[in-house]
Amino acid sequence: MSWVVLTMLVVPFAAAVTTLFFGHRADVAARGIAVGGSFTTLALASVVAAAHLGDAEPLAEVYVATASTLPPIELAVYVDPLSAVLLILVGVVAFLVQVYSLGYLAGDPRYPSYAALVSIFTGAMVAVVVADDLWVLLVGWELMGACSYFLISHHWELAEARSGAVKAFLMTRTADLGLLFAILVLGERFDSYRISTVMAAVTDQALPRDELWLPAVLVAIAVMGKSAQFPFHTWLPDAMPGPTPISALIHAATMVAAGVFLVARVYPLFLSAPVALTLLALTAAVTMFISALYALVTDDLKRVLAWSTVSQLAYMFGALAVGAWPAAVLLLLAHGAFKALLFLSAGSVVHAVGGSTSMTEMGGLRTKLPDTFATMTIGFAALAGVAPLVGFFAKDAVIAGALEGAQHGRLVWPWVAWLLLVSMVLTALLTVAYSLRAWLLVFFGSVDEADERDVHESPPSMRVPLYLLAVPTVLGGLVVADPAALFGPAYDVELFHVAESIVMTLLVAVAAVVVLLVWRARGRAMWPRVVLPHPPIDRVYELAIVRPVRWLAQLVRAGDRDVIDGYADGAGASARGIGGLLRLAQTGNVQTYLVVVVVGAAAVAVLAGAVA
Amino acid sequence: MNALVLNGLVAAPVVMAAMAMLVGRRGRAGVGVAAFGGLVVLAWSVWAVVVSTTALDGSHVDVAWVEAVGIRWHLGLDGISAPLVLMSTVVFACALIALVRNAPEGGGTTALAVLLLVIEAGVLGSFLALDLVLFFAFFEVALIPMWFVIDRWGDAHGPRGEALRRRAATRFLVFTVLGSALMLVGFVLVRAEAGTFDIVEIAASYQPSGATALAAAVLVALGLAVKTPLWPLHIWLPDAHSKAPTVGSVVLAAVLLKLGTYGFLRFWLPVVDPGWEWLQPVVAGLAVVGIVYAALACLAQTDLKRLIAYSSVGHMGFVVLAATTFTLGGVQAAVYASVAHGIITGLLFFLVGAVKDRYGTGDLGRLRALYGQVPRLGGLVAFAAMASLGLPGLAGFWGEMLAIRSAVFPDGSLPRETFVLLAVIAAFGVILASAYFLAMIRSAFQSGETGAAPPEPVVRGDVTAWEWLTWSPLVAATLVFGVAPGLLLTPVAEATVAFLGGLR
Amino acid sequence: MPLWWPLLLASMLFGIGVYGVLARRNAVLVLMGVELMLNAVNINLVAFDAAFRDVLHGGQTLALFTIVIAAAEIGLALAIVLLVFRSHGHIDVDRLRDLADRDRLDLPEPRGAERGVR
Repeated sequence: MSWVVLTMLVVPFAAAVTTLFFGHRADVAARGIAVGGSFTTLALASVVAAAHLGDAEPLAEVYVATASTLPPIELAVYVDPLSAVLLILVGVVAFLVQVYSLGYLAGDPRYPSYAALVSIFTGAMVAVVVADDLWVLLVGWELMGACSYFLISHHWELAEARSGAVKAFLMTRTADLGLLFAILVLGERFDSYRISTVMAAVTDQALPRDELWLPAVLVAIAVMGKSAQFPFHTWLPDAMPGPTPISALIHAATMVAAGVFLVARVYPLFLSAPVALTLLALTAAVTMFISALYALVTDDLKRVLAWSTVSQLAYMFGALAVGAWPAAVLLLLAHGAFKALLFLSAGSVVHAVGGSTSMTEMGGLRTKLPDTFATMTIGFAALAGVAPLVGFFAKDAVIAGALEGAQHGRLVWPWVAWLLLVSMVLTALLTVAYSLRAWLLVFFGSVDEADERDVHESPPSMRVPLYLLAVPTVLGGLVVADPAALFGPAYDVELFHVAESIVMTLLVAVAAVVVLLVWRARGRAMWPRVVLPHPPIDRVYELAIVRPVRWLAQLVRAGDRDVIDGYADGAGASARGIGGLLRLAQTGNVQTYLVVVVVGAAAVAVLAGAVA
Repeated sequence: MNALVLNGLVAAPVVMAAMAMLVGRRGRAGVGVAAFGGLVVLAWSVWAVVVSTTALDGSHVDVAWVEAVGIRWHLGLDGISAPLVLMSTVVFACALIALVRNAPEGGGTTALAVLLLVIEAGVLGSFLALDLVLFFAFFEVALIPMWFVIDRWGDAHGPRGEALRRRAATRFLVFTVLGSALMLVGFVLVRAEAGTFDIVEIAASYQPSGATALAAAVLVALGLAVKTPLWPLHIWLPDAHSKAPTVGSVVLAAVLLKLGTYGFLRFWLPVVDPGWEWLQPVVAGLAVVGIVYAALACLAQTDLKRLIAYSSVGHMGFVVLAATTFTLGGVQAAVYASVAHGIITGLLFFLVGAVKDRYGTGDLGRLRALYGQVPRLGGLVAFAAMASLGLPGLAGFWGEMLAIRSAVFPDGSLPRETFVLLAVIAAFGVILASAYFLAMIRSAFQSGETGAAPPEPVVRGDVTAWEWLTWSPLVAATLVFGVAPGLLLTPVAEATVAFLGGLR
Repeated sequence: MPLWWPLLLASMLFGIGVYGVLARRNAVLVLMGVELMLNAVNINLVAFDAAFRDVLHGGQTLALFTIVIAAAEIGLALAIVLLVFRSHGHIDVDRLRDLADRDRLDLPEPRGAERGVR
């Protein structure tokens, strides 16, 4: 089995390299290699995952290790049920995105590099998921950041694509420093960079409470950056100028999901550090609410979905912070399915209306795009938590977990757990509102100009992935019947809670009715903008970081030119000046020279006599 | 390892240079011979590395040279110098092959190739030398031909171009020669203390203590700091790099800077006592100031070559920071970062040179939207930039990561808090490095901010086959050292333990 | 004869020679000053040789050497003086300043101009 895992790690990168080499010569080759590579990855991932779901023994394998560093850096993999379910998620979403891109990027001259980057992206996420060595994990982790930078700036002619890409890369990379230092600290403390070894040591040694607060907090910071949590939440919506399939990939299965995965992976570390858990809970409580507010008022379809991702990720972190590990992973998987579905169908809508993502230019599309309408409806319903879709079960499990966590708190400040619970319930209502609003604005009502445009349904390569993704979105909730089959006997917990689900369903229904009434009464305007869709914290970053750095850069440039250059030139000039003084003696009159010689000789003789 | 291999490694470039000179009297064949010579030296260095051991055993060349003052012709190759030797011969071979098809303005390409081979001899001699004065001598051999390279073939475009070129060349020479003079004085003081110029013996038995030993260490550090360069002695570097012809910049950045960093490892660490209160923290502090300073300077640059040149200052800062921690990991980091910087910055200078050849300018204010015109060149620049900003999975990462690690956990006798603070600042320097590389790509390769039309190319066409040939070894090395750090870390560790003994 | 007589004579001759070399402006007279100094040395050599009764007569031998060298030197020097006179039109040592270190701009005027003055 271990060689299968290794092949699975290598295949996406090999596919990327071959796409880059041959893609520009033949279009068919690029498409074939890209789709074939991602299919191979999916097949290998399924083989690996199928063998490690449930109560199977985890696979741990070290392929290579550096001999002479302490502790060694190893190419090591570890596949347990968590990796297995993530592998399936990544494989499926990546494959569907590649298929979808065939239609979405038909005729794009930059397709080969795009497909290659998607392959690398997939490979990097696979590396993160199966990595057992923290450095391998970091390689995959940052490689994803780089890939997202290139893919977001795919349309580099657009100013917002360029700035969004740079922002995404710099923000996540800054937060990644946390992971770097956490790895250094953990490696030094436990004398190993193996995640399995470190986690076993953390669990077994019963370390004193909060001894490991520093690495845990550092990991939390890295994760907050990668998963776009407050205060790093602004890069994800700004990354929306990238091609829509990329958004699906980033939001559902890779980049931002990696943050949640990492916390789930090093969960013993967090459990031993309540400070980090509290930090996560606070961040999650703030993030989920404000990002839902932003989603409520923005007019851009893709930005609505982006903010909803931020909000849903905050749910997952909230669940992890209060100890509901299976609920968080379940929501991660469910979100992967329905968010991929939502983004791909949003791409279908954007494709149909000619490239605009603004919802003001959409409306009344349900008859023109029947397939997209059907699948996107399922996606929105799952996002809003409508029974019996997968989103409903996952959110129910999370909220029930949060309630339990609030009652038997392990956080430093117990009130944070209650704050989190309140925030979760409020955000669930807001989620219903913004999902319904987006759904109504896109598919209902009528726009005059829509009649004139040639609005048509997408090609089959884009519609088939939608239906394929609708299947897990509808049926995924069945997992709650027996979570142990997925996560192993250690997680044989009750994920379905009758009382909470009834309450939440009632609340969702009330919220939906209210929104529909508002829609009847006010039409497309719906509600006033209580917050601007542009977060004010960006302004703070601009004033506190970007401008001072620019100013310092100019200062340094001037300093090099005027100060450091000055001492170099000054040394040269003073040498020249002294030389000029000495030159005055060279009059050319030989007799003067001789006088100096004679006087000098006499002086030396007198001195010598005096000394002797 | 016999004398033929080591002496031959130093002699081979000289012999090939002589042959190129003889052939070069008639037509352009001399460049071809020189390029072949580069390959011969590369093959010879591979042979030398294969037959050598990672630790210095007794089998090095050691004969009396100037017996009156105890200077010996003492050459040896171990795990510390072998990676640098290989990296240098690869870079020189690439540069010489590039010259065959891409001659700089000013003619006399054979002479340029011959000078490069002479520099190569000096560089290889410096990496092999195990005698303080011999190191100094080879160091000078490598420096002086560079003056001719910059002064004769440098970029003389723009107002007062020739005067600025002369100024850059002279400043390079004056700074580095002054630095090596200080280093020589330091070496003489070391000899006064230790009684020998033999660095192997010094590393094994010298116990530096007292004012003279401290002064010696300071002088050696000053001399190497000019060459490396450390802030604030870096001022010669941006001029020299940006005025030199493409192959000159490549060699200067990829190889000549490594003489300084290698000197820090081989000739400075043994003459330093980590117990001295201020010397190592001060050097480390200057290195970190250099990292941040260079990154900020890069953010404000308007010329591609100057930007890459300043980025070298930052990378060398990581190397010196690692060296000052006096740990095994620090030496590993320093060698790794040196090799990675040689490969990556060499590649970057080749690429930027190609941009300059095509558009006649490196001005960031005029270049824009090059992704659209030369997509492959743009892709390669993006790749090299990612490698240079330390993306994990490419060669640049491991050196910087290990440097930060060694600064977080320095030698026990060093002030831990200071070094942790320095490590954190250095890590933020990495973020600034990302910022300036992305700004460079955004301004020159994606659309310019004003949206004006891209400049008119002087030479049309994307990457040529010959360019692929010269660059692909560097690209491949960047990938290989990115995914297989053990290749370098293991020999360096073995050599360091054998050479310096009980490091942590 | 006491030793100090020839020594006194020699030092007087040497002093006159030094004065001639340092103070005279005519190159021929400067050369004569040089001859005086050389001969002062010769007197010294011979005087010490006689006074110390040197078996090998090194002093006298060296004096012969000096006479030969002085002859060669004066021949060469007079040739130089002749050439200088031909090119500059004078042999005034004070005005022969071509060896001075000056910038290119303040070189003395071209030779033709000086000839015109003459």
